[in-house]
Amino acid sequence: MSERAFEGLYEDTPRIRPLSPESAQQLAEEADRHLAHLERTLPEREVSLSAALRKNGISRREFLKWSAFMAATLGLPPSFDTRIARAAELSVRLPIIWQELQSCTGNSEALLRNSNPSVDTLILELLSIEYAEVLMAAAGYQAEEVLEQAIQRYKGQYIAVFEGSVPLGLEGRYLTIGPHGTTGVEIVKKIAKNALAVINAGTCAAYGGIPMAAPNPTSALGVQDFLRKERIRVPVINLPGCPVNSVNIVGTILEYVLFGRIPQLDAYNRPLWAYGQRIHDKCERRGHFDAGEFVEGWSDLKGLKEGYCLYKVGCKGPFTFNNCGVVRFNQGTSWPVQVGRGCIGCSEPGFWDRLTPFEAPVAYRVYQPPILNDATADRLGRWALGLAGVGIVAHAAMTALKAFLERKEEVTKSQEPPKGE
Amino acid sequence: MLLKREGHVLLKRGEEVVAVRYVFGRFTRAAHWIRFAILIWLVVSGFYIAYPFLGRDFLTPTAFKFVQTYIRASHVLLGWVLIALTLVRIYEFLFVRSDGRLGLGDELRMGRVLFDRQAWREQIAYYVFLRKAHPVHVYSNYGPLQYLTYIALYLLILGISVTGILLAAPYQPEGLAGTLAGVLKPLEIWMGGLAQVRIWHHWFMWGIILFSVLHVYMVVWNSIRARTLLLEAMVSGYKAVEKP
Repeated sequence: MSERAFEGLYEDTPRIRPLSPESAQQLAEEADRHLAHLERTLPEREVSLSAALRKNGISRREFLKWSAFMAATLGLPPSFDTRIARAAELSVRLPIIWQELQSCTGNSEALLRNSNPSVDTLILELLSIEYAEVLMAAAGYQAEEVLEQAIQRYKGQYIAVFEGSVPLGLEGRYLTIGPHGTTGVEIVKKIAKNALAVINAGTCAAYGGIPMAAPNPTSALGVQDFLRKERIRVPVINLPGCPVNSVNIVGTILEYVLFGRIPQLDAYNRPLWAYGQRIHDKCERRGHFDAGEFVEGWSDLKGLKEGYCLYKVGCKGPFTFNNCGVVRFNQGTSWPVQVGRGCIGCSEPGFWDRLTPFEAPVAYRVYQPPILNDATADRLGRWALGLAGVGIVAHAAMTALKAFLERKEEVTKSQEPPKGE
Repeated sequence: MLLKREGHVLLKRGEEVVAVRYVFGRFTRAAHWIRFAILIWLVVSGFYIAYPFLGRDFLTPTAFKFVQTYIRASHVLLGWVLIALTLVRIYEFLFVRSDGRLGLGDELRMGRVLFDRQAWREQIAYYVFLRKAHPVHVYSNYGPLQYLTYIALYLLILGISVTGILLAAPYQPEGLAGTLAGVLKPLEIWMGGLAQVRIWHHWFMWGIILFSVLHVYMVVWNSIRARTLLLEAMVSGYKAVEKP
């Protein structure tokens, strides 16, 4: 693929801090330039977003409201409301290959199964997805051919979306797809090598997730780590979550369409606009946390009714970076903490091992590795303290005995008549 | 000033007369007791932060209650004080010399006691009652075991400070903690996320608790057994003179 595609992809966007009017203007011009560029270069399609919106009864007013919401979510100034709308129109022309790996397809299901689709779910449905097992009618040899064609036709232009982890065990044969039994390892290599960027949708693709949980029977690896291991250089965006929120996928795609680069990422390659703050920082129950009001257990009806903090019944919000509390799920209806079920930290690496049990604070973690565990630390600490106490008492007693004997010796010495007299 | 700062002075203590020497300056003594108080509160509040064990206050409405906030804020605040004191102490350890010149500090150079077999043998023998007189290492204020333990303590404090900064960062994203955490982020990644950082913080705390208990016992024991006035020295600054 051409190296040019990478240019500028890793540059930081200057908008984590409040924008000055000049830089907002600059950003808008940059976006206009890139939108015009995409308008010329992206492949034409017969479907269009506006037609689909009309068909689904979403008015122009609703669409613009959604655009303003997305602009705010991405941290962009109000001048971007209309540009987001334009980018959304264009985004359905962006070629995408959506590859299932060792996964439960939960991410695609969560994104697509909507009785009342919002604009972002509609975009996901309309996206120019060249290949996706869950969506396409093709099967067997035909499907294989579709994938090959898509890779060849849009070499270096498509965005690869992966869902699920890559199993390395049995030379990768824990996961084989298609009539030739191609292993997941080969598929990821083939798709990622020719991609413009890789989006890992869901925790399994981002870090390995549940398949990688101890004892990791299939030797699963997250797509990012796999690409690093294979030395495949391609920009990677991790969108962890179980499932990932559709807003986060669409936002990331819109960001690319607007600026031609991947968003500013955190240390785990998660977009900062979505994963910059913890669940805890944006939680609606935070006031009760600060007040020291906690739900004491599942039978604490008062606490549950009053909406007290769920930390003591296992909420992992203080360790989890995500924006669930802001964008919510199912057309913005609700999210786990709102319904009284604490966060399980599904967008953190190794959450299944490190953040369980989900119904108790991390203090009572029982799974691997046992040394990294509050309960173990407390138990061993208490033992060590007890042993130290026993040692101290023994040593002190010994000292007292020794001192007593020494004094007795001195007394007898002083009473003895001096020799040689 | 009651007594001279340098040289030996005689101090009447009941029946006996003891020669004493000024060993701990005002700042050292103040810092020691501030650290003592801070560590106690840090441990207590730390246990609360790990698992909020206080019961529910039914009388105050939520809007006027800030139990967790106050405890956490005091924990973070005192943590910063501890970090500041630690930095001063590390500077003192590395660079302060009695002759006032630039170069490696006195205490750092005393480190050769760690490689002094004779010192180790004498010290251990003294602790297990094979030897009656308190061993004096001419060139070092510290016994080898003591030196090693203090190094370990400062490593523990460094560890707990670094993990503490990482844990405080989300609460002060624009402040010093947030800025430092930006630099320390690779460490957080290496540990495997905030939850892991928290566990390490917890382990370091147990190390410090264990040190404190043993430290208090050893001081009291030495002070009584060898009549070094060591315990009193951290209050008065004067320690009994020992002859090698």
